[in-house]
Amino acid sequence: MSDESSIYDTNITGREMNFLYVSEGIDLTPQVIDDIKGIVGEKFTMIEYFPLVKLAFLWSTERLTDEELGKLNRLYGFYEVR
Amino acid sequence: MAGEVNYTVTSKLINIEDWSEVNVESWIQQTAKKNIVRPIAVNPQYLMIYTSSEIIVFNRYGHKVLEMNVEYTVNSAKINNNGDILVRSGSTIYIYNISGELLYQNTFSTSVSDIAIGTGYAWVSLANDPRTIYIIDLSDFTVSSISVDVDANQYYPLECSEIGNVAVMGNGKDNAAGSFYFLYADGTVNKIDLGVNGYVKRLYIRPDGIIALITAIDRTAPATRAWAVRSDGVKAGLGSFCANLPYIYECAVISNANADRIVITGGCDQNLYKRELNIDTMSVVKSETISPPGGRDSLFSVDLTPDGKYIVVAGGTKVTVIDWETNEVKKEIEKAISYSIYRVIVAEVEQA
Repeated sequence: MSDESSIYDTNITGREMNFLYVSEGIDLTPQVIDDIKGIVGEKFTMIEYFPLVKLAFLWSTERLTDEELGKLNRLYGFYEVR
Repeated sequence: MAGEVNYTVTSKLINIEDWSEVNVESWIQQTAKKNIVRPIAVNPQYLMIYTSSEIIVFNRYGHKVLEMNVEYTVNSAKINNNGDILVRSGSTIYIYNISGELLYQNTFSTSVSDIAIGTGYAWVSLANDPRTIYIIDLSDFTVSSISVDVDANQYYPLECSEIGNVAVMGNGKDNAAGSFYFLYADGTVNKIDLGVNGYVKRLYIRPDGIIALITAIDRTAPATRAWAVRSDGVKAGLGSFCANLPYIYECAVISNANADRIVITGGCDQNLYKRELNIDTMSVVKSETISPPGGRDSLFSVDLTPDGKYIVVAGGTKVTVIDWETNEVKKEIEKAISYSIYRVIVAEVEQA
């Protein structure tokens, strides 16, 4: 019964992964993740980690301020990619 | 430590030609078995057992191929048919290969609600942000997201097909109109209303992603109802069962060449409900109720062998293997722990 089914969204949004920051050679411990979340606050979307190459991708909903990014760079080596 | 209990855990290989049994490697655990899962696959290659801190994987020859302890608390874990393991712990997911190497982890803004993993894609739903479902392409670990128009602050169970390009999600908890979603890795969302004032409790998906099996609580009746749903939205009602179940309904779904076989545990009435489905017409072509051995309220776990020939049900103090066609009890195995989850795969015998 087709009326029981509705296709209403055909777009991959990616809407919350708007800005990307990268850190290379990082040891991403739970404590480090908590620190990063604390700095990024409500803008935090996710932090991906590839432990074999120690690469971290930090995604945010909005661009981080110079102060926030400066702190992340100083402590954990993050820089803006896009 | 004082008060710790050691459990001896033994998997069994059962020869379906003479119904003899062989114990596979036993091991000692200090926590009771938490769960056992197999990949959603036509030809499942692995069985995985996990506790809150340990993950153990067997291959289809009965060999233990991975035994791994983790330092975090495992909330749940799933495995795909390549042996990639997806673990949920708080707001973080971890992906390991079959060697136990951590390949990828991702920490989200809020607790992860549920996870699913196919050979191509993994899926993640979040507890406090269910409108965004994340998809991880396992070929390069790129992440995308799908926006789904659902109520917030609900529980959204997830399962995905063998490849993982199709996932199913239901809405959960109270105060929800029962609905259910087919989600596709290309971003398509197909919402299906169940027509009940209730919520999806358990869901299953066939490896090809075309058929899903749902149990949902209908709060108006009240009852637990079950449907098979085709990906185009056509439903087949499978029955209405008692509402106040002591345990969550266990179901199993299998596909053979001509029909789909589904088995549902009774809960209140300790029956097994067999349904055979014609997926072209979405009609139930065979419906049968059987009463396997086991005590009241104890039909906790049920599974079908991947070829659909046998039902495996844990009831009372026994695990029972039942022939689908004849309902004949082929095998009974004494078990030590009540209310355990059981999963089966078809094993191959290694040539000497």
